[in-house]
Amino acid sequence: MNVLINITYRGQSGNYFVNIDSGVDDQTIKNICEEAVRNGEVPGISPNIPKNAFANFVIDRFHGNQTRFVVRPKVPFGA
Amino acid sequence: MHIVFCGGGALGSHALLLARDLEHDLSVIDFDRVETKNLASQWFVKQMVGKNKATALKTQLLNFYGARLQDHAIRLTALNIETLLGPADLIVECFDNAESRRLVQDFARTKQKACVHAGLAANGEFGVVRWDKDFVIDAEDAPGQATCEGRGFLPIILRASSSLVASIQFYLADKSQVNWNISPRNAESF
Repeated sequence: MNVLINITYRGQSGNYFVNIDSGVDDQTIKNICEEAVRNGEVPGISPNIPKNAFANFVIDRFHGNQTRFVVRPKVPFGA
Repeated sequence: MHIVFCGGGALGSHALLLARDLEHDLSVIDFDRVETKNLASQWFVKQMVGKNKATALKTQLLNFYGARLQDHAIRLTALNIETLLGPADLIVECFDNAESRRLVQDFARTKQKACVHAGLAANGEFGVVRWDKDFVIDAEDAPGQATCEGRGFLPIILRASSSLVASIQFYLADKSQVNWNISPRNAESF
């Protein structure tokens, strides 16, 4: 399945398309993202990210016309 | 339509500023008081320091714009949630802790209320607007963790707040439920 991954890291954000199973586990998605960013395949995000850069990130999954995963930092605050 | 805002801090206060001309009944729930440090990141003027946030927002909207807002200067709990959120046709949740968010989410799902959430990362690097079916509650890393309350966060706070109000407008227009990803450099709806 062709999945759009929205990645945000330290205020930078970019999109990455990958053909994977939509039920893939979170850790695999994080590994894919880390490798893609390091390889410079995600426009908008500097490739100089540390190992396990997405370790504490959350993955939101949306299954619409275009399957979309959002790899993001936690967002606990509002008020 | 009755729209209830849960939380009148960084996101909630600015969202109410932007939502003031919606032709619907607005109310806000917040037990907290305005502190001097809040002036850097929340829509309060210094004359409101010491006042309850919900009441301060009501006063500011009325005095500056003639806009009406119902204030609930109390903490939302399981005991009063039916009274406070029962009349709501749309719940706008911008609390700052997982426990309160869960209370609202459980109520909205049980009562099948339309509910939209907004949240920010602690360091202001990312924000979301999510309708309840898509919302995942993130716990704070530690109780009382510092939030986007210092200087320099207003651009992303305003971007998240305006995205939230845009989603409310879309919902009011045709019941569509638009989510947003917000970063310091852009905002994307989907």
